[in-house]
Amino acid sequence: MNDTLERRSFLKSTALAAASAAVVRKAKGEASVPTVPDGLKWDKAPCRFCGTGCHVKVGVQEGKVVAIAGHPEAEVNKGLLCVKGYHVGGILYGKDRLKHPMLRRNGVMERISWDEAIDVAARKIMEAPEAFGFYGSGQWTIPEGYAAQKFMRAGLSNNHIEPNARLCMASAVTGFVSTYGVDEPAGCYDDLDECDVLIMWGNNMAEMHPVLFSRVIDRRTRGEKVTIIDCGTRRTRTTEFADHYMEFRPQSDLAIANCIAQQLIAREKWDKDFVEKHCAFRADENEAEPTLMGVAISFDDFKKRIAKYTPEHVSEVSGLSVEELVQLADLFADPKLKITSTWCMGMNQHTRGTAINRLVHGIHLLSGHFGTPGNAPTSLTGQPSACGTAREVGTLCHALPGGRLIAKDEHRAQCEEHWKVEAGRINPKPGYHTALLWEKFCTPTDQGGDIRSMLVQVTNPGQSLPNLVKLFENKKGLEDKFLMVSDCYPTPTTELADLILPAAMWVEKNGVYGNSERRTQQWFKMVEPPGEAREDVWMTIAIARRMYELGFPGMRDASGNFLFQFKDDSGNEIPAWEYERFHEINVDRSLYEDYRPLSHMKHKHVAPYDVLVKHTGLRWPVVKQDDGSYRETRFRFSEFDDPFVKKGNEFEFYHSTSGDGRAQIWFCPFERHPEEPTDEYPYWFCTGRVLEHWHTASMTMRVPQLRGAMPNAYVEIHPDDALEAGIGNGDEVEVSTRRGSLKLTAWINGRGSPPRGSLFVPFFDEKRLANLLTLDALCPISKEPDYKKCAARIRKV
Amino acid sequence: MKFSDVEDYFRHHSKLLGVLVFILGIVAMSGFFMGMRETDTEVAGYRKPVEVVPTASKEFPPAPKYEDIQDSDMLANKHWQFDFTNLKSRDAMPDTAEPLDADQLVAILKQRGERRAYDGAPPVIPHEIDQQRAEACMTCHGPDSRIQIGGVIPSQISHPYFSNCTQCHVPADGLRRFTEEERSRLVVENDFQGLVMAGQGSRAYVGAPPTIPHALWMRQNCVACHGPGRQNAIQTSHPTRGNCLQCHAPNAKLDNRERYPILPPAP
Repeated sequence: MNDTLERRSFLKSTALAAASAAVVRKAKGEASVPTVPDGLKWDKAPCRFCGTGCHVKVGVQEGKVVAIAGHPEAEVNKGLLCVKGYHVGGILYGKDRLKHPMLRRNGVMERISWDEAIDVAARKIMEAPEAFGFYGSGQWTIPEGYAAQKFMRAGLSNNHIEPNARLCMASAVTGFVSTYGVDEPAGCYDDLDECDVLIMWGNNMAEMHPVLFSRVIDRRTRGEKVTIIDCGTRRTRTTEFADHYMEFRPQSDLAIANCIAQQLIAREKWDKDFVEKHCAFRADENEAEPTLMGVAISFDDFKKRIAKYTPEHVSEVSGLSVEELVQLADLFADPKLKITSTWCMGMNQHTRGTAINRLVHGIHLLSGHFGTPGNAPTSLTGQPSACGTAREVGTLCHALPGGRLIAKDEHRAQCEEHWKVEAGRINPKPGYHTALLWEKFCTPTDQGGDIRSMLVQVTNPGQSLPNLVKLFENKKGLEDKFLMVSDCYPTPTTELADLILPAAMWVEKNGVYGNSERRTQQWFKMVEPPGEAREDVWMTIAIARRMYELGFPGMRDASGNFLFQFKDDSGNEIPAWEYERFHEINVDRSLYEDYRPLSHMKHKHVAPYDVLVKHTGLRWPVVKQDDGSYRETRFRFSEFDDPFVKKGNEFEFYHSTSGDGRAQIWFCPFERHPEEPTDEYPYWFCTGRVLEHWHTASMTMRVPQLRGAMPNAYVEIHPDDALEAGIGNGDEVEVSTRRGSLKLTAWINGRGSPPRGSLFVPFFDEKRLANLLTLDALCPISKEPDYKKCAARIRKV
Repeated sequence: MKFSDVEDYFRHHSKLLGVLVFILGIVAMSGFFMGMRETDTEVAGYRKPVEVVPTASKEFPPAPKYEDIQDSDMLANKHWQFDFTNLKSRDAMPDTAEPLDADQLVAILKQRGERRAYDGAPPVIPHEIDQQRAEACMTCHGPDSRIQIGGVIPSQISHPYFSNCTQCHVPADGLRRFTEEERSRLVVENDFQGLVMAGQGSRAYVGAPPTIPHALWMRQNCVACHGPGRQNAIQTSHPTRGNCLQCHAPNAKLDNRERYPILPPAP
């Protein structure tokens, strides 16, 4: 008996070993499989994709990433990931990685050396330094963004630096700044564990922030009650988990938020104590010319302005029933309920993006659903360091590090002093915002196109800009415009590039990111980049150094030294611009520590680098305790948690725009969208993302599991609309707007279900560019485009 | 034919021939310049993403008669049933099946490998799914499901219940309702080599309980794979004992612990 068992198990185990070796590593053909994989090393890193900021463990074997695991100790994701995160290792190994610098000569891309590439870039910028634009993203690491900042502001006295984050969270920034006087959410993800009600405003969290969404819905599995309300313009996977789906007409979210405020006041259900102590009211002096700060108004004035947004009136505007509107107001009127609101692109990519952001903050403040665990208005970001780099380092055309502004003399002077350059070095005039920057680059020089060269790092504007023909493709044939692109893969952007710089990505380099909940996260390089691919931060420093060698005065500080100085632990200078010596010190640590003190002015104290090394991220302000340890802050402006709130104040908005510690409750009117459907273009056209792909999918389309699940873009259409237009499921159709046409496959009752009269197309597919159709109308304050609404028509091909 | 005839011929048709030579010239010149233009192929190491445009093939199989639908190939799989009650239910606690032989094990491991990017990756789904709702998944994959489809017992959820299944599990071949020419036109090969399955556990002595040769994270439910009636892994010979880890030791090295001990979160 025992004999047979042993024999059986011996047979099994031999077969198992043989099979594992034969099957899984067939390419390598190893003979035996050890009990524990040899030489497998695990290290931590934040995920490369969205703004959730999950921490992963990266398994490295023989110099390659071979496995990924959710980090069980990470507070954000608690060991879980989404399908993109589990497959993030695959993004490093697409066969068509860019491996060598290339220069376009007579229309043909030719391989060149790094020395030549850096020289070409430096000379191009020097030809017209004031006509150079630096375009990065919310995927820039904090040190990369900081180096780019210093390069532009101090080195070139040029403010034409923008991140693609302008396209995704600029309206959230203006919403926070005009409400609280300082950017970024007061609450954090802990609110998701505590709230009784979660209201999502145009936010398909189940696909876009799946780990955070699960954090809420899995509470139900544990027997907790949480009411989920999906306010949206299209049924999505999120809707399937919602208790209530409130489908409103595009743009009418403004009216809905106003209706909640009207009801709170009409029913005397606003939080009088909280508002009296901690809030003030504000509106635009002239609604036709909205400004960031507006003017103070009285409560009576606010009441008068909001009065017309009755449920009856707003029901007509929004399409929600009076009962649904009353139900929303009932929730906010109940002080016992803990309410968290989340939003992402639905509210931000909006021609009144700043307004709707303010209004949602406003109803939370007015009803007192603010500042205690579970009560928070929280914007989510789409990129891993939109907060950390774009917003905190301030790589926007009007900003400086740590919440400083170009327009303020004092702020420029502080940066000039910190960077050791003479007073007046930083140009006092803000640069061009993203849409304008690209428009100027794509306009012939003699017609006012005064941007002549661009350097693009870690983003793909050739696919992600709105109205692509106008803002990108018009560059074609403009001989005096020079496009330099640093990227990992060929993209629609590299297609028009004149100089291509192959970039190292994710764990091929050191990095620091900052996620949606103010959490700063650090990781180390784990594997070598392919071919000659190099770090973006090195490129910036090397170009600066080349300009210094060529005698460009801006690359010297006030005492004539090169702008970027690096020293090792013993104080020896390290020429990090020489790539052979770049890795002798941790350049990331050096840049980050140089940036860190700049984060203190607005009380955004980021944690020291060496502390971050030991954590899966810490939420700022991170303040040193008497015992030498560092403490993070979960709830800003709340006395019980935020060390900067004066004792006894309960709440304090210590950067208040009214200077008295109060947050601003704004009135903003409902205003119509500039391109509503007409007879000629009868459909609302909306674009967005899908679970399996990340933004323009230049990384995720190279992962077989992700491409397999979602291989192509499509257009979603309501079955009745399809029937009327004679369109069947899977038919080829043509979708057109005033800007262009696109051939797509119709998908009826597919991933999402748009209501009658509206279409949805995901923008990840570079062979079907949804942004050829989108509108470049901007929020007048945040300058963020509206990718979610324009007029379109559809026909069967 | 005399030489003068040829000369004669050219004299008579000189105009026409001139036009012909001119046209040929244009064709040759434009061909030359077109050849100089950048192509989609390798240029000094830089390759534009390949646009794969499959040839149109709209040859649809004939639709089956209603009475034949149950057996037709046009369903998601040939054992598709319209009513769950028609599906065979497997026994609550069948006899321990015969152990797999080496060939079967190879076949099963091959299938297992194909559905995972690396050992520990969430497996992809080998069939079409409801794109909108996750509830459908649990009907077959839930811990209490006894449904059998054809000869296949659906794999059982191996981890605690999380409600959003498609967060991690996606179809291997999504959108296959669409014809080939509508599908992906950006197909790039990938060199990612996933982590290998660790192989067998070890025994301290003959008859000792073997150690666990894989990580336990997301595999907390041992019987999902090792329980009675499960064909694809080593079956337990003692299913009534519930506390597996009492005797079978996990291996810390497999539990992906990295360099830094993660400190407890700041107070």
